[in-house]
Amino acid sequence: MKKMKLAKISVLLFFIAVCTNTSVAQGKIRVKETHGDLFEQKGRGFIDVVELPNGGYMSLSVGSAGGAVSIGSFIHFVQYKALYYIQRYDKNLDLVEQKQLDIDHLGKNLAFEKLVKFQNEFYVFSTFVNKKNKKKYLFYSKLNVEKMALEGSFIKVAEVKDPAAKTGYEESSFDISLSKDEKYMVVFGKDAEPIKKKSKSFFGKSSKQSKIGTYDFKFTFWVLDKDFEIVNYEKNYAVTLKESSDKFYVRDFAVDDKGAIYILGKNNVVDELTRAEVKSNKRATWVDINKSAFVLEKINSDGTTEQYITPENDLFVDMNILFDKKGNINLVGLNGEQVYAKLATTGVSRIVLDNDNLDEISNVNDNFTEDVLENVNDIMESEKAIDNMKNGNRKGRIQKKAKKKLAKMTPEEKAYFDIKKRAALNVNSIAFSGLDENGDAMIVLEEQHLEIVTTTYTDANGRTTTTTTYYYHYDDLIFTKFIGDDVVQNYYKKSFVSINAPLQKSMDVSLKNGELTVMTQGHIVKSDGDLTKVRDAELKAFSRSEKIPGMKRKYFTYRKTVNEDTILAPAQNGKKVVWYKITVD
Amino acid sequence: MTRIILFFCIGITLNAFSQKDLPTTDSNAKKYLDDGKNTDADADIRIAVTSIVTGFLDLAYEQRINHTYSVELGGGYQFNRGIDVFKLVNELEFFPYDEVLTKGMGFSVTAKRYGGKEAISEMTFQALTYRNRNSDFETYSYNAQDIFYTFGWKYLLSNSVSAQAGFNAGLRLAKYAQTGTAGIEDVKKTGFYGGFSAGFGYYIKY
Repeated sequence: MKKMKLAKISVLLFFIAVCTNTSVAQGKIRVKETHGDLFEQKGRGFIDVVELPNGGYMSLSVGSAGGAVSIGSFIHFVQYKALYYIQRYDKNLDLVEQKQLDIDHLGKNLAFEKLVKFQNEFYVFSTFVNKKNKKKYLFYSKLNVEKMALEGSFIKVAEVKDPAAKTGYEESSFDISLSKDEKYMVVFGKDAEPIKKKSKSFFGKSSKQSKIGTYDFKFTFWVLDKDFEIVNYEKNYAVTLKESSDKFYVRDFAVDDKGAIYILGKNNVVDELTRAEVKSNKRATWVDINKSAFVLEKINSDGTTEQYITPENDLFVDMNILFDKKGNINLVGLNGEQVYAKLATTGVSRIVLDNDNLDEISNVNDNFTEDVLENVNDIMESEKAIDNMKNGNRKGRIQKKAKKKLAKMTPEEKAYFDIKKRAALNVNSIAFSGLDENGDAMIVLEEQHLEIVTTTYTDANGRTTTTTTYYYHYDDLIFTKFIGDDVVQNYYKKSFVSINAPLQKSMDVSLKNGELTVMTQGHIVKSDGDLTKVRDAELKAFSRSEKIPGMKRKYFTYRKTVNEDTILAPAQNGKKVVWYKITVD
Repeated sequence: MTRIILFFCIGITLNAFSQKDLPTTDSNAKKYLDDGKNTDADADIRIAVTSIVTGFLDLAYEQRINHTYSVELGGGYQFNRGIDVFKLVNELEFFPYDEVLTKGMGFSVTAKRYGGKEAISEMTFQALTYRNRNSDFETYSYNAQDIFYTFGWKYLLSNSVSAQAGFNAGLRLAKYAQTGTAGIEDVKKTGFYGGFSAGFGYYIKY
């Protein structure tokens, strides 16, 4: 499995995606762009970059050793091993030193899991699958930043069941999260489970995914205090609802400053319609979304639990957990409406819950405004004409055309045409959510969709070739802010297409003084405090005209917001690297 | 008094049950990393399967120097005439090839470099080998000195049983020498040597 992952990473890194990029903003901002010196990196792709207490930076990159040869379709010689490298830079992002980070222990290959800054120290978490014990173990070791090496022993923290690449099993996984004050750490573990034969979710996507987030609501967790002592633990924990056999899927989890953990699960209840029902109702879809609620379960350190379920009749597309300064829980979510098999996002909501008993303190909902939808859904004049015609206005040439278009529409097309005026069709998840200094919640959404185009060519000899091209669209942004009981909204128009390779990350967001800063593909976008204006700046770093001596072309495959004002992004061409530092004034 | 003691005992028991049985972190990583597999082997004793085709039974001993380099010493005994493609290519008309093999021996020295600091376990390697094989027939002898580069793969099939496969390419210095009849001079040939080799071994941890 590790080999497969490496191969996938290599393919992604070597793949040159052809992209197009356009954008429209309501004003301009000033951005400072500097870069460090050119150097040859060890490894291929960056997996993390952090700011060091002394003002410099440290990055981690991954490469591989080994090789593969295939003879025909049956004989394959394959041996790969992931190699990790650590780089240290000064405050100008000039390379100071780089070396291999050896995470092997006692002759065993451990896999890098995560770099975690906890209690002002850096720790490397790594995993090992023990085939004999059929378990995957999670270890941590302290990283000495000065020596750029692990020091001390490897300490085992957690374990999950793993039948070690046995076919028919989903991969086991761990996930790590810290409390806001960094006093507690929670480790979630999911056993490798047999793949269920029927693995389609109601969105039509396969539910076979490797990370926590899409599985049934059963997991193990470990809560560790600042001394790495386990203070709370539950094995195979399951959230259950009284008198309900509904299934849950973990969507988010968090640990608060008191060591209590919160699990946010999505509860889908989908009726599968019979052939007769589909026929009699003239439905093109085979499902009926009865419920798309979220369940929040709080597990206190003494083992007691509290539960909150979102209002039964409300359909939610996505939801995140945030903690305010008082420790109260803010559930920020997307409201939805069913259109055939799809749940279309019609608005945003914020539910504030009391930290002690999860009692609802406030619940604010708002639909997207007409202005936002008109712009993000690109509602054309001709479409407005159809709308006018439906409302009884039948004058003019445009209306005539509209009438013809309306007559040709299938019931499903008509349904999508109608929902376009109430929903952001290509928004299915929250890209960013956060609380500002005043406790106001902000949500950033991005329109994303995949377009698959299959083309068949026939050459002069009559040979037919079929090619499939995947267009990954990353379009307009929607900004929403909850100020008390009011919701303000704005948008940023952009269009970005990555061909045949999805972006690892489409945007980076930071929140400071109530203002959002978003780094998109080639632009920095900034909103003011009450979202009245969204301004942008084009990044020179991403421009082809901005040349780096010794580097013919630049590719950006990774970037990270290291603090509220600074985004770091490496420009790469093969092994040559230059780190850019982008600071927003 | 008995009641008080009884209530006290029940109280202690209930308290014990109410306490959560929490696991602890463990610094003894060996306990969890020990999967029985000899991935950190010091040496490998190996038999070359593909050499059997050439009539040789080759045994090799590989010793790890550090996590990147190893050296290998090999010895071979020829039990059969076998099929040596590179010998057939260079066959000389005046030598009596149908003669019976009387004795065949060989030895080899190899230096190996492994990727990813994985010597000598599961990883790809590059190797440079010098091999000397001598085959004595009734009236002549054939000596082949091969110097070749190998790109190969090492696998751990079970806890200690290893497999090695590799593609070789190099030079062969061959010498035909008449031993039975006087008057015919030795013939030296230089040519390409290459191909595929594979073998099975056993990892040793000292």
